[in-house]
Amino acid sequence: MKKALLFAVLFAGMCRAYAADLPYVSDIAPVPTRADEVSAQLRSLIGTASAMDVPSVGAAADAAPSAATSDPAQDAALARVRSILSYGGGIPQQDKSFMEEWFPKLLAKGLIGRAPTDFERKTIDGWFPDLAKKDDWRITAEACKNYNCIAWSAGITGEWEWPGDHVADFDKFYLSYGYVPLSDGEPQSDADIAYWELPDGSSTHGSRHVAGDIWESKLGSAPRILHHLNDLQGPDYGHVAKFYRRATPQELASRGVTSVKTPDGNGKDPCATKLRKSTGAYDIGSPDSKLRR
Amino acid sequence: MTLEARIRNYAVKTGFMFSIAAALLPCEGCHMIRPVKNGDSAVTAAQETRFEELYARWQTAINVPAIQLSSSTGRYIRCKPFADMEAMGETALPYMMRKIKEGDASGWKESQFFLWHAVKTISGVDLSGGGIAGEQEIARKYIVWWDDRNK
Repeated sequence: MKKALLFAVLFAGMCRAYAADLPYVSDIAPVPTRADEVSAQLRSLIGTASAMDVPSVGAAADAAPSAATSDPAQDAALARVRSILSYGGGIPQQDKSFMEEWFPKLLAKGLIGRAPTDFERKTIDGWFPDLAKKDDWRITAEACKNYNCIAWSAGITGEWEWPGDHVADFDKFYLSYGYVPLSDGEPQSDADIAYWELPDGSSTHGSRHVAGDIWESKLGSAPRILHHLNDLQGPDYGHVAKFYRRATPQELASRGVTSVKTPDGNGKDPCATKLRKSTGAYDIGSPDSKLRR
Repeated sequence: MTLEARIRNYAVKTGFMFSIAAALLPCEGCHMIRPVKNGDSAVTAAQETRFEELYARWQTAINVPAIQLSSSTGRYIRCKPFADMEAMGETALPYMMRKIKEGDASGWKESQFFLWHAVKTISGVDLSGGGIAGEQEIARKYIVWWDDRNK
């Protein structure tokens, strides 16, 4: 009896030791279905730990050209526009007329940002139907969890900013960075920031004005894009409910603001840097000290 | 004498401890077994495992377009796995702070900074400073607070 028991134990041990070299059923990756592939691609697009690299699907050939053109004036303008765009927040007053003149031309030539890949179109268009209709939006920075739309609208790239769920929280936040609400009668073209909310008044989003009808939005943890103002409206972001612009010193003083916070954005967006490093094909412009605000 | 005791006796006598151990260890989760000297350590290991499971579930829960396309902090922290991490109470604090520190050191690739909200809920210590501060900035305040507390 004792010998039989000992034999059984030894036999079990040998089997277990042999089995340890084999993968368990749960360790064997199942054959991926189409749904699994889409899910994995979606996750890589919207910012998993490895998704700061360019998604592997879609047309990489759409990346913005970075080579110089034969037009020196255009090259100089492109360098300056890219430098201006490498900072978030409102476009500086001294750059606005230059941006109004050059940005639309350069954008039309596909020299600003890069076109979304087919997969990015499918994914992001699915959430913003109006974006899909125009199909002319551009990506200016890859998915990144370091900062969000509110941060970018104020020029911040090292913090995720969410001051609260109501417009009063955003009034306070934007004032701390030197922005005040656009007054009645002021043209929308003077606006630097658009504040978005749902019909119930809960805050959803912030965009910054680039030039003309083009605005820039960091989509949560997802990429940063150029779009027409109302292209993001819908059930997720709601609608634009308020505009802000840079305040004058007098306006700040009248509100009891003696100093405004300086955004940490220094033209070196960690996400854009990551992208440039990972692809070598994407460039929103390296900061030029002469052009820094 | 129980059957298990008999087996152990024979194993010791015959010197085949490895075979015995291999036979008796459960297959699933062998890698998670760690040296345990007393009951408290066993509890700690189980809590850590529980926290890591909840953290992984939270990462999965927020990694969907409806949340990833949102900038609202509330969308990232108002979900069951996050609430379950909070519900672990004080025992989860060391693991949460470890995640926050890892995030700070590695560029916040998993949005670990949001965990300060749970640390605040559990500890009752509010370092948010009234709302005009970034999530990472507040998370770093909690790192300082935690390190001071554990000096």
